[in-house]
Amino acid sequence: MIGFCDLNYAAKAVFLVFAFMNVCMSLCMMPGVFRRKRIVPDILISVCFLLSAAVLVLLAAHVKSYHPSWTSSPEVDIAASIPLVIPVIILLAVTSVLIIQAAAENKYQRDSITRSSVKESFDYLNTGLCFAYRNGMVMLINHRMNTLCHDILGRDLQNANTFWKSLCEGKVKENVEVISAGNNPSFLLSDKSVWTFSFEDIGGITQIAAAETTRQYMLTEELKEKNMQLSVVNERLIEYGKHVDELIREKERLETKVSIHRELGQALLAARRYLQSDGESPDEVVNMLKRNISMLRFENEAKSSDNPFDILMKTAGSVGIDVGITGRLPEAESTARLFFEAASEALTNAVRHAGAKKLNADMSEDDIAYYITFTNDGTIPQTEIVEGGGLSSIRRKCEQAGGTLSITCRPEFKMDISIPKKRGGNL
Amino acid sequence: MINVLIVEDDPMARQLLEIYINTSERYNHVQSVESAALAEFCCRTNDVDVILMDVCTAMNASGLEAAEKIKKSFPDIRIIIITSQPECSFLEKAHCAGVDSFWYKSSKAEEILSVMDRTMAGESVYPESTPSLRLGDTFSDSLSGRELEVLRELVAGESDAAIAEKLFMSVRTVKAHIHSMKEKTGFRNRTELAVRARESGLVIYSKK
Repeated sequence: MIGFCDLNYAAKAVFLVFAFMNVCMSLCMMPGVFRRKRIVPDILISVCFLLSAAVLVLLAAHVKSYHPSWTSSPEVDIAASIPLVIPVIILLAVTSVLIIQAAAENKYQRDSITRSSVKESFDYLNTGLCFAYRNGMVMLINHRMNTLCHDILGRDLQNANTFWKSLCEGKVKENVEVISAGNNPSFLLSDKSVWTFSFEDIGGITQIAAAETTRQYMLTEELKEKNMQLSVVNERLIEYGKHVDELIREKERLETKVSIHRELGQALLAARRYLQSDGESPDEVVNMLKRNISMLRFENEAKSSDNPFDILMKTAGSVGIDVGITGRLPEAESTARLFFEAASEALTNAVRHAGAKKLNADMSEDDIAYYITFTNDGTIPQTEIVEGGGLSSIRRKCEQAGGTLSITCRPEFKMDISIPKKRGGNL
Repeated sequence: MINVLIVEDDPMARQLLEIYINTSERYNHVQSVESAALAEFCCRTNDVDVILMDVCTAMNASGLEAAEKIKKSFPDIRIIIITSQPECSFLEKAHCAGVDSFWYKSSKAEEILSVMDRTMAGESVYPESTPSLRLGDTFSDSLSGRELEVLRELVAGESDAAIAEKLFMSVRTVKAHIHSMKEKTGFRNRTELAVRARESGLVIYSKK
């Protein structure tokens, strides 16, 4: 039988290389297999290593023994002379076991959650994550956060604290748009994606997270656009509301005119009947005609005043009360209404409590507010004024509009009202 | 003779009422005033037995608010609210304000004089219900009370969020009410709903 010693030099070299590769393979696989702490793979890999190492050492020693400085030992000679088939079988068996073990190890790595799989999945997260010590030194960071740091700041994330400070202050690259800075900074990147960052201290460890909020941002923008359209519609609706009353009144007037026209026809028919029948009472016909003529005459004469205070002066004048007005009514409709209501109340109170014959209303305005002051020529109140329903209602409305109402009794009775010009303002 | 005060801002309607009263032998027209804010003043300076008062008067003064105030100072004065706007909340508010009678304007003189006679005889004359109005594909009485409240704010141009805050309900509920009203009426959008409702007089927003 041919032994190893019978082979030529090239065949011996190939054999030795093959044995060496087996030794190397078993050595490389050892840490992974031993880490799993399973008895059979541990024993198998150890046996493979020992067998292939023994074959390599013995056969290598045989080859080396040809050198004059080496002396061969009997064990080496025995090993070199045993039939070649035995070391070949040993090496092939070892190779087979190692290949099977490598496949098993590969399957294990692929199918099981290991330390590296945690890092791998961490890297594949769509959320950017960075954990760091309090001093900012990065402990763990994923690919997404690294990419974001590059996209937003144009550099690597070296220190978490510096990174966060730059985000909060909005110190970003030119092609990045800051949507919001502060505690939850958001950025619109050049690829049109939106990222929102958050910072949290978890038991001494800093966590910076970045979530993609593109969809949320788009929806918010859409909502803003819709709200803007809605507010335009609402403004138009308010404007429409101001005119609709007049339209409705116009409609009512038209109906009244139609009714007058109909009644006039009836009156003429009744007059004709009266003239033909001779003897019926003319009173009803006369009344109908009078009503119609009054309405027709009124229609020609009716003129309405633009200044609401004319109504006040006319009403007060009809019972001998003189109303003196200086200044002009505020342009703000709600303030004008409030001033008119206050003037009506002041007029009622002047007559009721002071027996006044003249009421003065002085209106003025500056950049901040509209003002009106009421005085009268009646008797000065002797006791403190207790505000009734009317005055309290005016005071409440003034305060709701952010204004003030003050009453003084000395040296004369005076009621002052101030209403801010700016909506939502306070005096 | 029974003294009558008229509170009405529309000149033609006011004139018509004055003519009806002047042609009647039982009533004496004392004064007419355009704004309900001046009604109390007129009561203090005139001998008034009955007031014919519109709800919406000049300078946005509410006849219902004025009626409540007058009733406190002059409980003996009879008040008849007259309105052409079938706003559904007016009847209830009139009851609360202590108004004696309520009349939906019509052009027949006999009707208002009859209401005045019955009121002066101590009767409280109220219509049984608000007139049912056509609103799109439906009638006003098919809308719920809460829907009408939302509609009243809607005609004022308020946003859903503002309506929700004012009526103590969620924005989702406000949207649901508006959607339900659009379904009932067949109007395409909220603006059409608000405009048609306002035109019909079904709901009137009173600025406070």
